[in-house]
Amino acid sequence: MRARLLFPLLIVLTVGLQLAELAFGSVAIPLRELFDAENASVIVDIRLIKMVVATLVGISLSVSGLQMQTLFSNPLAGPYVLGLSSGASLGVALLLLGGVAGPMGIAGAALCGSGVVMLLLLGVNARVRDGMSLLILGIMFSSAVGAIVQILQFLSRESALKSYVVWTMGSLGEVTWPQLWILAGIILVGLLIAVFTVKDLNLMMFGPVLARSMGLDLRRSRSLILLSTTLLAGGVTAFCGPIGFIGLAVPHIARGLFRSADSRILLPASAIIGADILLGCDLISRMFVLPINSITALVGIPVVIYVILRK
Amino acid sequence: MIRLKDVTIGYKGTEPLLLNQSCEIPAGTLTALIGRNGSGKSTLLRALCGTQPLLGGEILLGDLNPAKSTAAELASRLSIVTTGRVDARHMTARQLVEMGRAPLTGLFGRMHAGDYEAVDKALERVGLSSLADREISGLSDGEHQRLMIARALAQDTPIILLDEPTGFLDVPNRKAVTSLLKDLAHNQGKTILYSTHELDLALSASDLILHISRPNLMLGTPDEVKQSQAYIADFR
Repeated sequence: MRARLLFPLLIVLTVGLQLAELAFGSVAIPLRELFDAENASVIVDIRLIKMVVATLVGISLSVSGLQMQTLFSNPLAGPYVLGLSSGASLGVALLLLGGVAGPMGIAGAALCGSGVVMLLLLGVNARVRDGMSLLILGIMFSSAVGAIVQILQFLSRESALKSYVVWTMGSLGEVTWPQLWILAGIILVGLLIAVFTVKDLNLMMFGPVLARSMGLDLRRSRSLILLSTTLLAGGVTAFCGPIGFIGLAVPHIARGLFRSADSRILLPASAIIGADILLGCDLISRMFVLPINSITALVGIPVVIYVILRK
Repeated sequence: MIRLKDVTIGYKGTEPLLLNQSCEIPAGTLTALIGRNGSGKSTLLRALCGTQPLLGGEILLGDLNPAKSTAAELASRLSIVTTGRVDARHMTARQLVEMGRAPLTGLFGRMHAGDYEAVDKALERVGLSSLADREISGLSDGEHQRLMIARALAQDTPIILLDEPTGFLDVPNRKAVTSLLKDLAHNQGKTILYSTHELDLALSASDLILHISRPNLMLGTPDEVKQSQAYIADFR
């Protein structure tokens, strides 16, 4: 079976990329000196955190992207399709541009923003019948929030504007150890929900009517999947900023590579491939000192174009 | 067995589609649901699935009231087949049929020997065993429709509802699907109700005809229905 061969290969690749993350940087540290005591501060406090963050971000966004593409039967859906990143950016904009203070700084503000969007969507989900209405409402929320952010940008001072724009470019390196524990906790819960709703994802491929006829409680499943995606994508966005195109592109790579439609294979496959791609993107961004978001866009967009042209 | 007791179906502010109608479709029969466009065929099918609230009366599927059941309870009683194609890249015919076992498997959908057996049987029944490992995107409309019926068979429910199962099919495929349904009703004791616009085929191939002629419902043999006032008014 294809999966039996691919999973071990991808795991080896992940470990390799993770080691490379530890070894490369502004000070190159040869692999055999990686664990020497004198390098500990650089390795542990900077590169190890970044490596763990990159892995978690890749996993989260890709799993969330798979969920959204399946939930909305739309190959071009991604983690941010329902406005999670807009919610997060409103939180951050209120903090940086509007001068509203809150606990935990930027991450706290972004988490609150995503959380509000999720509560709105869960409320709406109880009232609408189908996924399409939910999708349209998500896009509407997202545009409304975008408009408010624009007003804040228009009214704010230049220095505040710059720190906001830098946040929107994304960064894996701003996370501290205590924050990492919070991020890891949020992602773990999100992943657990994702794993336990994997059969629901398979049923959702048949559309709501057939899925229900095969015993799926649609509202419950949609709520759980929304919650999972909010934790995964919202958590990542809170600590690292909005990171684009990974969640959109990786599930397609997983489908193509594993030649499967079974979410029980695609979920772990997307998680590992997502981690690999994000680690790779981070290595490139470090080599050329570029914002991570531009690298993920340049890597992800060709995949999206391929998906559209193939049809 | 499907039983309607004094059922009233409709939408607020309009004439009801069905008013105080009762009938009983026995097990082991193939019944065609016919009626003009807008007569309420799909609404009635939705009511049978429990997704359309009744304005009055009660529906019973065996001993289960669909309006008061959870999706999981309903899935053990009733399977459905619709016209649309499943759009899932790399899904094979066998995997599609395996999903029919979903209500019977656990949290992660793990299949056991009995499940594989049911899937093999269902594929054989619709004559698609040889295509089991093909991807569904490469199947013809007729093959896809038979596959969806196999999925319903794998679900192993006493009742199967089909919404225009022959809608997109050419004449030979329509005949093949209808005779497959008849075979399933007679030899497996299933209660099969399908909506259709193919009057001639419905009249010649079904055991019973359920004719909706707003706000009445008539259940009878093809000959009885053909001679009814309502049928003549609707279709002649």
